[in-house]
Amino acid sequence: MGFPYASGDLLTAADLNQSSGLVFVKSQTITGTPGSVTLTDVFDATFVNYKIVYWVTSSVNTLILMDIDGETSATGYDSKLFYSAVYAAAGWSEVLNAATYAWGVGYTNAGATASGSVEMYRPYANLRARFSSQFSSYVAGVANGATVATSGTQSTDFTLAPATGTFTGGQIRVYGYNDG
Amino acid sequence: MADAYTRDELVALYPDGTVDVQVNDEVRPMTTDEWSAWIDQQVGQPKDDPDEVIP
Repeated sequence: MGFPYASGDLLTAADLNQSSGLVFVKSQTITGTPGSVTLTDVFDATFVNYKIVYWVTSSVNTLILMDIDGETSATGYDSKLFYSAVYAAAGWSEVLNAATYAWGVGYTNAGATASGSVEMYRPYANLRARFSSQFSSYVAGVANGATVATSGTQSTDFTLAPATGTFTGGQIRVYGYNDG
Repeated sequence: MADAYTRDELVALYPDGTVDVQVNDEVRPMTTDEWSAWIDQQVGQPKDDPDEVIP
């Protein structure tokens, strides 16, 4: 049945599968004072690309790092992050994270919340996974990055961690982009 | 440029047993070995970077 649907149409599973957009995959509340939070069994063959939306609180203002499993090299990640103070007419600053063990995707805000989203491209495809993100805390900005893919790499899990200190709360939600 | 954390400062801020690791819904304290590696990983990280704070 073609989209858009009309009043009285009887929708089949195929209709719903081809018309749904972002599909909820997983949600996780951050509890305790974790130095890292890992979500397992998130990426699989169901979707090619994913969207991760989060808010966090933390013990100090610090860079938020992302790591996906399947990448075993300690120097396999490259990313560049641009940010600017949200309350002042300051210029852009940048953080280059080249050849590191994890990606920089945003900044936390001690004493308040930091929010952001990550577009994750083809983490399960045995290819060089890439991401782009945007975030807002006491600074706001964007980041882009990639990881080296090794043969047979299929990432199913990911980890968010503060570069310094611990998370003190938050929520992470993952959605898959439905390809119809 | 912000100051960087030393190992002694990090140990004082985050003593062994006070840092958790979370995997999905499971939250547990880091083992001493995990905590020591975690501390080592953060040595040299800038303090409060970027160092501007919303008033």
